[in-house]
Amino acid sequence: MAKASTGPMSVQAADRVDPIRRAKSVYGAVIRNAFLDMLAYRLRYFTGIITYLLFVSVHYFIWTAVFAARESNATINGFTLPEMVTYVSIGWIARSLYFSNIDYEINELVRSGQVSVYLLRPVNFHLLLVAQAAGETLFRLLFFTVPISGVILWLFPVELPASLGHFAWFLAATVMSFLILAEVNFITGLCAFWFKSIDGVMRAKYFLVQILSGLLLPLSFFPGWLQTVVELLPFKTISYLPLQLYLGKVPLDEAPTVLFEQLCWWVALGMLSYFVWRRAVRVLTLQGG
Amino acid sequence: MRTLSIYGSYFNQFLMSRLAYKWDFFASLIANIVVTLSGLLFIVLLIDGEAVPSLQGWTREEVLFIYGYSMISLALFNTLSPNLYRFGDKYVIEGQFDRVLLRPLNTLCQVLFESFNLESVGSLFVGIWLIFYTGASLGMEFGALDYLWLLVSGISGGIILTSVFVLLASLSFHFQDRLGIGAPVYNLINFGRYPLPIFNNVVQFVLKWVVPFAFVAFFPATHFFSRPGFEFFCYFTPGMAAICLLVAALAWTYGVSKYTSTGS
Repeated sequence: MAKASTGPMSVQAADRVDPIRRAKSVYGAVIRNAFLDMLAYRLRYFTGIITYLLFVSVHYFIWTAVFAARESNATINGFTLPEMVTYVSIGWIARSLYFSNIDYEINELVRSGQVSVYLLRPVNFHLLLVAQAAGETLFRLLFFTVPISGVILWLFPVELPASLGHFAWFLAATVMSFLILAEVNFITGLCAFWFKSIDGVMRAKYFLVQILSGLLLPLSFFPGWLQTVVELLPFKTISYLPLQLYLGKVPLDEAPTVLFEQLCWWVALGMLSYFVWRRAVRVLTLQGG
Repeated sequence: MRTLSIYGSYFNQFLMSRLAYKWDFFASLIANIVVTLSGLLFIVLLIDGEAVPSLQGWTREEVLFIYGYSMISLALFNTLSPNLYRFGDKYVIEGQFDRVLLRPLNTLCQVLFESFNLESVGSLFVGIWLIFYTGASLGMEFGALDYLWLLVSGISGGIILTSVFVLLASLSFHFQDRLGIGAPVYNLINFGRYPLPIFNNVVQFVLKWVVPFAFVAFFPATHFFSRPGFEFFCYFTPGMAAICLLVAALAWTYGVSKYTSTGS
């Protein structure tokens, strides 16, 4: 019955609208919507992969140019070209895991005033944000780090880790990098309680961490005085030290020392962020009247 | 003339609201300078003149000179660009573009002049200082024509950068969503801040003809070097800026014609 009645109907419709044009507009819209839905979530990761690829590429070319006039196995400040390419590539892959947006999140919460709602809840604000960041890192591990690693390892001549043991220590150290950077970001985000805009502070922190963590170039490239300064700061434990483990520049029996140093910095920064947090809450109370 | 004074008022209005929080502005300015200097730090640390004497034959001063050049164009672009990044969200999805369309002024100019990133002046100063500092150690002498070229090519570079992001922003008219390709393209700018010959042929081609960021700093800077082989591309910089501006204007006009309001 139904079939019989649709027959003449569609003929009538076809009289008014060209069926091919209609199909085009209907399915075109379906395809377009499906495409846009994909874009809404996936494209962010897709473009993220390209962004990381561009970072690694530009540094790959720079390091190749640095070693251009040298013999193939020359070392500069203790690194050969293959080691440097590995250093940069693995450094960025590890960064895709350990970075977090805690500073950005706190800034948003303070701007929107939602932070007061968080304060009323019987949860630890600090733990909540770190846990949230950890969840995001787990998500990125699957949908971001894996494809990035695939593309980078395929395009660039990256060396394998020095040994399985070194790789295991490197992974453990990267977990610590996440925890240490989370504290740095937490403290940076708390600046939002005092300043009207912390965009500049966040950007400055971003670049300082990039340089001082050794992500852009190993500490052995720094002049003596700056090496001394960096030795006294926590940032080198975020990127430089884990990469030294990967490359086997740290002997296996000294690996626990690296993790212990990270642990110490984590505890120290954790105490500092607790202290800053207590003061921040007080400022907020004052503003709230 | 009247139009210009209206844009002047746009700027003044923004300036006043920004300076309402003076200390906040100064903090941002200082942060901007720190960011600019830390970008420089990488080159200064890498090409230390001893362990690493040059980048494939390009000396530290030359690399820094090109980097300083890029800061001038980037500062111009960064000052104008904040609305381009959030164009999709702020104007198309929120429907603020309705308001822009109601006014008898050029739509693109309105969008660009409604918000500025004044902190970028910091990197402009660092860039100019860097050019003259490294220029002096390279033994350069600047004549009137050189200053003119610096001005023309600096503005051209700013136009190229702005045009590329206007083109990306105009995609928001069709997709009603940030495509998210702004970030990768922004990072592509970094390639234009180093001597082009250090990159392989594919990258060089892209930087010349697809996303012409090689014209932002490298090509125009070669005017000041005694290195032959780049003359054509160097003096083609204003031409490339004109082409980019034309393409961006066409894409924008076409996008505006396709704009459908949110209806709210």
